[in-house]
Order: sequence, then C-alpha cells, then structure tokens
Amino acid sequence: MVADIVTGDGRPLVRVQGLSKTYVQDRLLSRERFVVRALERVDLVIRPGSSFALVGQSGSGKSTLALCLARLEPPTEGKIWFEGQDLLSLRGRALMRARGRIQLIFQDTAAAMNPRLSAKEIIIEPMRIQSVGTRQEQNERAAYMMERVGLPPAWLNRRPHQFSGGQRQRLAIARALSLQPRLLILDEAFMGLDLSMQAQIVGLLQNLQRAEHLTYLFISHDLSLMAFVADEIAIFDRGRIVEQGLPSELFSNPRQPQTRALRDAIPGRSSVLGMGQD
Amino acid sequence: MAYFLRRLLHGVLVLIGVSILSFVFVQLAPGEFFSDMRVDPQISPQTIASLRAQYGLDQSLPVRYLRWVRSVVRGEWGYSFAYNLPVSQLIWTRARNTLALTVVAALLAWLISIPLGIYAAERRDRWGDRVTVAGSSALLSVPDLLLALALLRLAIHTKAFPVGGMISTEYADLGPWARIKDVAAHFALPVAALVFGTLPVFFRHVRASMIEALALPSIQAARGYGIARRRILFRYALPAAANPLISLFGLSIATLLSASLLVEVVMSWPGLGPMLLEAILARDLYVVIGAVMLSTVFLVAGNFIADILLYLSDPRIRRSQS
Amino acid sequence: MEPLLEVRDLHVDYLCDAAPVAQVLRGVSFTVGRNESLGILGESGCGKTTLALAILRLLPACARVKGAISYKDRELVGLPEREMEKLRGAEVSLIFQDPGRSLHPTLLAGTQIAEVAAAHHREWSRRHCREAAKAILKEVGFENAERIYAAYPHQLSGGQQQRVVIAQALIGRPPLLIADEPTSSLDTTMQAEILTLLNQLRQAHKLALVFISHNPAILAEMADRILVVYAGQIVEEGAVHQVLTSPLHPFTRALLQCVPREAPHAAADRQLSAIPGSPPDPAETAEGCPFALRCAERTEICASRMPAEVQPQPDRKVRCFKYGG
Repeated sequence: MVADIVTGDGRPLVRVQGLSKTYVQDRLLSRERFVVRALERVDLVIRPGSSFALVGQSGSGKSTLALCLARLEPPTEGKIWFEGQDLLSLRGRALMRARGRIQLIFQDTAAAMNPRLSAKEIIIEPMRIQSVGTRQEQNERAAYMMERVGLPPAWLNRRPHQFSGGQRQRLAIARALSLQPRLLILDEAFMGLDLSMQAQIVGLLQNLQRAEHLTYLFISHDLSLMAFVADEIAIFDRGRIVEQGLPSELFSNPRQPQTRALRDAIPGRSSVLGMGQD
Repeated sequence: MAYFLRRLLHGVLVLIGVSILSFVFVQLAPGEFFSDMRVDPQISPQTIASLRAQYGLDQSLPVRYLRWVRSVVRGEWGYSFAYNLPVSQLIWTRARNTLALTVVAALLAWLISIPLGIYAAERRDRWGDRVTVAGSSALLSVPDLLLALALLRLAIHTKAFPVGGMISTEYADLGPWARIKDVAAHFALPVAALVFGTLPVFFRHVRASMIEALALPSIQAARGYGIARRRILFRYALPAAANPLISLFGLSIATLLSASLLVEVVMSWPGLGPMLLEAILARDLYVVIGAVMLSTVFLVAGNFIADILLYLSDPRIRRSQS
Repeated sequence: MEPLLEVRDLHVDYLCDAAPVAQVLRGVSFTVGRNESLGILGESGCGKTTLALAILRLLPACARVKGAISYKDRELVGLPEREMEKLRGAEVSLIFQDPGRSLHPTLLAGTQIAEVAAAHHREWSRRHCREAAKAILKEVGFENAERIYAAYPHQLSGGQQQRVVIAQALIGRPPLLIADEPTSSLDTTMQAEILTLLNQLRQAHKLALVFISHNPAILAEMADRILVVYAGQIVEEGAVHQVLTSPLHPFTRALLQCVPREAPHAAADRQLSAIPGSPPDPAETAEGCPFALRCAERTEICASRMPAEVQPQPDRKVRCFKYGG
C-alpha cells in the first residue's frame, strides 16, 4: 500500500542507524562470559504512513529491535531518530510524550492485559497514565475505540478472559490507539489466530491506517502474511538485516539464502495445488 | 557453585542480624535478672552491684555484645545467671530432647501426608478425597493447645499413657530396657500432638500440588503415550509437584526447634521451649539469646537445605542460576 | 481393505462446571485407512481437538461420549482403561500443539522417550530402552542423539522439542499418528522442517496420519483426503486437491480466501477477505445451519433446519442446502 505521505516533507518517521544490542552475562567465580549479539549495526528507515515488516526466524533479534524502538531496552550502540528527534536522548516529559506516540502490540494478548481490569479500563489505561483528558473524555474515547475496532461497546465491562483470542487482539489495538500514536509496532501479533481472525485483523489494521494516518512496523516470521500487509520487508537473520525490498521482489528474486529459505518454507507452495497461484 | 556461596553468605548475615536484634530486644524488656533481688531487703545494693559487675551487666550494650561474641567463639555462648553454667551446656541437653520430639513428629507427618495427599489428589472429588479433606479440615480447626490438653485428658482417663514429663519418678531404678519403654511411653503423646498439628497442613499442600501437577499438559501427553497411571503418578506428577513441597520441607526443618514450644510446656516435656520460657520470665539474658540463636541456625539451615534440594531437583532453576 | 480407524456418529458433550451443556461434536463419522493421510480442517472451538482426545479416550471425566470408535475392528468406547493404555502409544499416538508444554520439565528428553518404550516393552531392559530412544532420535533428524538425549526440554528450541515429541510418539511404532496442530506454535522454517519430517516418517513406516490444522495450505502439503469441520460437524469431505481447488461448502470457500497468496504486485490486490463474525460457541446451540450467520450465500431455509449430508459427486460429501439435503 503506497500510502499518502502525510507529513509531506518526505522525512522518515523512524530512522535507525548502527543499532547494536549485546547481552552479556557475567558468571561469578568464572572467567567465562556469555555473550549474545542480539542486534548488529542495524540500519533502517520507515516512512510515515507506510507498513514496514521485519521478517526472520525466532531468535533472529527482531523483537529486540522492537524493544529498543519502544525504549524498553537500551541499545548498546547506535542511534534512533523518531519524528526527527534523537529518541535515545529524551528524558522526562519529552520521553513520556514520545512513548505515547510509539505503541506496542504483542503476541500473547492475555499476558499483556491485566486480568482484573475491564475492557474499558484497559483502553483508557494509557490515557490515565499520561493524564490525558477528563474522565468523561476518557470514557467517550473508550466507547469510540471499541466501535472502531469492531467490538460491541456493550462489552466495555467485560474482562479480558471473556474475549476470544481475536477479540482480545482487537482490544489491544483499541488500547494502543487511545493515545493517537504515530507508530504502531506489532510483534508477532497474528500468531495463534485462526485464519479468518487473522484476515479480519489485517482488514481492520488496513482501515485504521488510512483513517488515523498510522505507520506500522510488523515483526513476524510469516513471510506470506507480511507480503500482504507490508510495503517493504527487511529480512532479519542473527541480528542483521540481510536483504530488504518490496515483497514482490523478494518473492520472485530472493538474493540471500535466508530469504529463499523463508519463502520456500511457506506451506502449500510446493503442493500440486500451487497455493501460490491464483 | 556461586549460587550456594551467595545463599550461605546470606545465611551468615541473617545470623548476625538476629543476634544483634535479639540482644537489643531483650534489653528493651523492663527489668533484669537482678531486679527481684533489689526488692529483697536482706541483699545490699553493693552485693547487687558487684554481682552485676561480675556478669558484666554494668557495661554498655555494644561492649556486652562483643564479649558475648567472644564467648560464642570459645564455645560457651555466655553464662546463665540462674544456673551459673555456660549456656551451651544447658541448651544442648534441652535441644536434644526437643529434637527427639520434633524430628520424629516431622518424619511421621511427612510419611503419612505424602501418600495420603497423592491418594486424595488421584481420587479428586470422589469419596476417598472428600473423607481425607474433611478429616484434615477438622484437625486444622482445632487449636494446638486444645489438642495437647485433649491428649492429656485421654492419658488421665485411660491410664494408658503417662501424663506429661519425659521420665517417670522411678526412672533411676529401672533396667535399660524398661528405661527405653518408659521414655517411649512419655514420648507418644507429645509426638501425637505435634503430628496432629502439622499433618493436615502438609497433606493439603501435597494434595494441592499434586492436583495442579496432574492437570499439566505434559501429564496428559504422557498418558497419551500409554504410560501406566501409577508410573505417571510417581515418575511424572510427583516431581512436577515437588517444588512447593520442597520449600515446605525446608520450613519443617527450619522450625524443628521452635514449633514445639507450646506442646512442650503443656506436656511438661523438658525441651528447649520450657527453658526458654523460664529464662524469659527470669530475664536470664544469655540463655534467651542462646536459644533464639540456635533456633535461627536451624531456620537458616532449613532454608539452605531447601535451596540445595530445589537446585538439585529442578533443572530450570539450575539454568537460571548459572 | 478394511479401515484402520472408523468413527461412527460420534457425539461429545461437555457437562463440566455446571455450565450449559456444550455440544462439542455432533454426529461425526469418518474412516482412516492404513497408510492414509487424512486432514481435518477447522477453526478454534470447532471440536477438532476434542475429536483427537476422544479417539484416545483422554477427555476429562465430565465429557459424555456417544457413538462408536473402532480401531482395527475393536470398539474403543467401552474398553477398560488398562487395555486403552496398551493401545495408546503403541497403536495410536497423539502429538499436541505446544511441544514446550507437552514435555516434562524435569526429566531428560531422552528419558521421556525411553519411558514410552519401557511402557510398551516390559521385557526390555533399561539399557535397551535407552538405546531404542537414541535410535529414534537419530531417525527424527538429530545427528547428535547423545547430546539431545541428555538435554532438558527447556534447553531445546521449539523445533527440536517437537522432534522429541514425535520421537516419543513413534517409538512404540504405532500404525496411526494423530497430530493436532503440531506446528502452530513454531515459526515457518521450523514448521517446514517438521512437516518434511512427518512426510518422511510416513513414507518410511507406512504410517496413517490424521493431521489437524486451521490452515488449508498446510493440509495441501500433508493430506490426501480432507474433512472440513465446523461447529462440531463435518461440513465437507473429499480428496484434498478437489476440496481446496473447487470447494463446495461456503465455509471452505470463505476460509480459502483468507489464506494469503503470493505477494501481490498491485496494491489493490492486497485485500484479504475475511469471514465476518466469530466461530460459534459450542455452548450456544441455535436452530439451523451453524454457519448461516456468517455465510455469504445463505438463504431462508438455512436458519430453520440443519442440512443433511449429501454426496453431489462420487467421493465428495457436503452438508449444505445448496446441494440438496
């Protein structure tokens, strides 16, 4: 989806340069050190209004990148610019505001929600934390968001466990959008969903993107689904981007073995059916 | 390795902390050993003053603490005012009597509650389960004091057991075999009281852990491969249920010296409990501190043993520590 | 050739927790032949896992089972538990979705496999069981079987764990393997490895396979025949390439449109059609066809009566008013 570039000045929304993250575990009484290079000098650019996907196997480091972008993990090296600002140097109020503009959606929705809160409280929780809006405004926003994500407003009083997996994912989206963010990071948000649910959520996200001028960063291992939702895909392997390009190019002309492996792993391609053809 | 050293260090710090705290707290209680003597007109203030100086009670708190530490290193653990003996001598015999009770009671309680808990968990919500759970609830709701008194009453009524104490008055005249029987007879009721007090708690924990373990997907998968029910119970479910039980076992060890105080006092068993009580009332300072410290040593040891057992039994803990 | 497994008119209700009775399976019938691969396609809550558990008699005590399940002409429904234990793992094996949870956390991976061997070969020594476990670890693709034997499950990756599970399932050499969404919690590359492995093992041991999945693309690779299940009933049945290229039932059709196809060149093609609404709750039973509410092709009769199963073509069955019934 070559979306409208809303800022108009062609500036990227997110620019990552030389990002590295190394985990070191020191062992007491031993000279060994356990070193994991989760990210190695990653560069990428995300244009506003677009959908960018990071695709790689589990353990390739893609989630670590999401955590760094959301400032939940400090990188070891490198820079991140968000909306032109140096994201890593922000503090205090400026940081809080930036956090509101970058929202994260996880795979395990049940674990990401407080089971004691009602749907309404879950949606307005970010607004409460950032002290945005009066009680009345918050409640209105909650009802509005429930409808926008296709859930009946009558369910605002229900608890997360009363929703199905797909419905909880919608709720997570409603919560993420309550602060009107610019960037939504979705980390394996489709895993574990039935195909019909997955398709519904994809449709919802596509609608919302147009209407709310959102930028998406998808993180996934599912190349076939990402080819559908993303404008641009970066293939991740062991902490590095090994190939990057348009989905159709990556499918027809994969240059790196990792890309080819991910493409060939898609089920149904090699069968007589040729699920790949329409 | 490092994990255990850390835990050991932690234990030592606890011991030091407790010693300081108990020193301070005993001081906070009003009066001291010689307070009663002050009231006696026959004893002159100078005598009291010299007695106090002899026992070092006129020194400041930190000085006294250091002198006590030195005494511990020498193996004496301070002096008892009342008995005029090193505390270590006094405490040792009493602690031994207490341990005789509590070790046997703990072993019995665990040996009964583990199979019973497994049985109840297996037959969940069926007759066997309901009966055992109801029984344990009944026992739990009776206060230990009442249990002990009820047993004493039973002893008086049936004359089958002696009523309190550890030995009969004729003990010295008895032959060796008769002596053993005598002690055993006195032993029975206090042990029973202790077992009745702890058994329901252990039973419920075992049952709850087993129920949780039996519901695990890995257990269902094992059933799916045709592994026999009995084998699943002991080889799969029990190890999965072990973690909370090991912690509870550590607690058993930790309270070996402290849990029996009430029973000992009510049933006149010459253990650490009655001595501690007496010493507190008399402000026999170093006896109190000595008893508290010994109990703390068991507490720390119990936790440490639980840590070791957990480390050995659960590979996931090993992984997270190394 | 008589079938290996025959299920006739199976009904399963859950009467648990004093909740409304959930009709999880409603009159399911099918057969599995030797060395055949049957795919079961359905969404969550449609009863596919219950079906797998029912065959192996692993349902909770509050489940009520009616109907007939026969394996090699032996009726399983009333069989004593001891006999059932002998069957599980040696005649029929089941592998589940999340291998991390299916493996015991404090036993060595190899020990868990050896235990299954020991359960079905009481005359084998412990050493023999260990050797057999190592042998099958090699068969499922581990080069260093010794190392894997001595590993704990949490030390292995998802794909490795699932291989261990498969080793456990096959060490008893069962003729029938039921796999319930075995790759749904794995990433695509691990998934591809496991699917390849399963196909290899099927060939090598002439296994019959029942593969349960919510993804038609996976079944396209794994199954010869396919059953489409919706709300506890089979709504379509046929050879896999027929059902997936020319689906008869509206649910099958709609589900196939949810599968992301080859990367579209034009932005306009980037629409994944979705089925509106959610999969039905087994506790709520309504009149008529359970798919009616979400069906794009529904007519008046659909909401009032349940369609019967019809056979519009040889070897194809469907439960929809569009074809009669």
